[in-house]
Amino acid sequence: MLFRRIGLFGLVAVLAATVLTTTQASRTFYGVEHPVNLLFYAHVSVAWVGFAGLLVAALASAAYLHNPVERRTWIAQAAVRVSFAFITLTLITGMVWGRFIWNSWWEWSDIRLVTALVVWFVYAGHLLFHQQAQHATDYRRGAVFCVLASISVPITVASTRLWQSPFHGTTLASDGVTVHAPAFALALLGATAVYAYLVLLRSRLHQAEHVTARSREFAR
Amino acid sequence: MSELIATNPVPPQGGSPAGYLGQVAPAAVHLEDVSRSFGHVLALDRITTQIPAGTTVALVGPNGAGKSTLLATIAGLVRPTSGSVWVGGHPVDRAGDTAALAGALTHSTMLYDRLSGRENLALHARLHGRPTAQVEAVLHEVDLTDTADRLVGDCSHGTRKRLALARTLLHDPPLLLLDEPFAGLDPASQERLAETLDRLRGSHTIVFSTHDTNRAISGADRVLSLDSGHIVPSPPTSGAAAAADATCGGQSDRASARPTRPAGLLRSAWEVLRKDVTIEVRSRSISTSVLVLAALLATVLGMAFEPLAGSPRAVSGILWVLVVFAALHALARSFDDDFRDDALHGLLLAGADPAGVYLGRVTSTALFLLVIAVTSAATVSVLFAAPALLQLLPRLLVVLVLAAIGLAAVGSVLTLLSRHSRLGETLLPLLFLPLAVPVLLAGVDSVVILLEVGRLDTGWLVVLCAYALGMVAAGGIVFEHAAEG
Repeated sequence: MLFRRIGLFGLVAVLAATVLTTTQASRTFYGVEHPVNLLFYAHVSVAWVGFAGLLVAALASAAYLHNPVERRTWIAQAAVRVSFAFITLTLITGMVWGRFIWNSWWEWSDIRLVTALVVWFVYAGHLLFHQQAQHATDYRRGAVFCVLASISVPITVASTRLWQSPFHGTTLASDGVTVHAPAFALALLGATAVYAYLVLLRSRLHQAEHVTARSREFAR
Repeated sequence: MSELIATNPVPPQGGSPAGYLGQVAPAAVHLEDVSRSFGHVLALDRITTQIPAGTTVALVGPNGAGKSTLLATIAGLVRPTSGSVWVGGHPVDRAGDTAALAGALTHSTMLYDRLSGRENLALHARLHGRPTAQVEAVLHEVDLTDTADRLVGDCSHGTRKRLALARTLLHDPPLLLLDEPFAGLDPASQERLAETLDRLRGSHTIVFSTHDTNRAISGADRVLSLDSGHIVPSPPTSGAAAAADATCGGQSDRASARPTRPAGLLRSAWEVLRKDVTIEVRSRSISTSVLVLAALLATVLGMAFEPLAGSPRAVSGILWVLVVFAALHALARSFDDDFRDDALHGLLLAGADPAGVYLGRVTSTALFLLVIAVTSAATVSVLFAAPALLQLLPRLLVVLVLAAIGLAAVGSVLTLLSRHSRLGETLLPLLFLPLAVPVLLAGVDSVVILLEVGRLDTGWLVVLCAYALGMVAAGGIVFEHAAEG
């Protein structure tokens, strides 16, 4: 099964990235040496993949509204759920890093934190809507929300960037950061493969739930 | 044509029932493998049938058999989960597709409670592109000429039903879809309705549902029995074939009229805006409660933040707290009238452009939010020692207008979504506030900069413009998906 191979590949890549990071990567960021700096590799990889996944969800939702093929909405829902988990992980790793480096769990003036939190709330609303939908198969309205959210997110990012931030702006481009490129590439590849595996798994679960419910109804 | 209703016809060729029927005129209604489920409940299960033009068909069956869903599906009010529906040879995907071809009477009146019967019918006539003189004719038909100036909400059930029937007949559609038309009427009204249907019989295709077997047999050419979403075969009633022979040829032209969308984008928007303003000016139901809420919030915040009076950031923050809470309160109630008795779907059924309905709603909501925002600005200016807020009003208005459009654009769609959840309006703030963050950031910072240096910040104006335009465009595209039944 292709999707199992993707999952296995992701797992191996993540393990390899972990080994490479802990043994080879620099623990000094912005002149501060601390083991927590190694969280960078997990934090950035998970964030990139999580946010890119929201784009997949938006495209699948728009495609579903254009032509309601159920598989599209299952992929969209799965992508939102997995992205939500990835963004949650991004927030947690970012807060842990901030606690040790900035001596603060949260900084409102940091655009990245605020942006991630707003996006987290946007998609928390999406999941809540699905959970509370009058009909379990109200895919169309879920897709509507996903499309609106996809427009709101880049504008949110733009608006938070207009804020003046005294904290780090573009981590990868900063002078004080030396990234171990192979470790980062492996981490990113591993996170992407794990993401794809989870989305495919979750969409299959949606499909199975759908088929089971239909069968039960038919049996009645 | 020996059979009026073919429950298992030959599959259509070329994707259209006209091709399937070959030389024969297209059926008034053709359903091909139509299923519809609500959640996991299957209301219609692979129904394939056709109803020739000019026939009268009675739908019978127990409660939950699928009669109402079948009629709503033919009208385009309910989208099939699978399968296809054609009316007069034209595919039906949404309510507006049947605007010129069909009139649908459902369990809801599809009229606005806080407009009079005459105003409601005039609105529908304009959307259908019919002269308003038609309203008087149809009111005479249902014997309501003298009582049509009463608000629909003040009318009795029977009167409302007759007004709904008037709405159905208003544009003289070739196909009438009547869901239990006799239910809730007194004997005299039932008799009058039966006479009306008898008069239309033959010249119109009529599909009606009923629990009255006698009326089904006497009033229809064919009885169609439904049970658990399936068609149960039943024989034609007496005289059915004669009725078909007498009417099919004559009806083909009427039934296959082009499915035009009478009201375009701008006219639909204008009609909705006009309706919203009329209702709000007449009832002042939302404005009163929202303005009281804003005043209450201003008082509470005034007591809490008194030491910060005059500070630009505090003044701006308080202003936007008032605007957002008032907007949430207003949005939560903004579709009350549209959902009461399914009036919104009535507009779509009358051919209103969904994007136009959305545009009209956004315009009326934005106007309303602007009034709230200006009132809030005046209140904050007085209570928080910020006279500059009013002195800079023309520039402030630019920010408020853009913010009002953005908030109304996203809020209108989200209100519809939240109304279709089990949490109802409780869900609205949870969906609305995160999506409104760009407007709030831009609004708060713009007002701070305005108060500090007396000019507008271009960067924030770009954010507000992009948000307003993006949300209006996206909302216009997805609105009908959010509004569908």
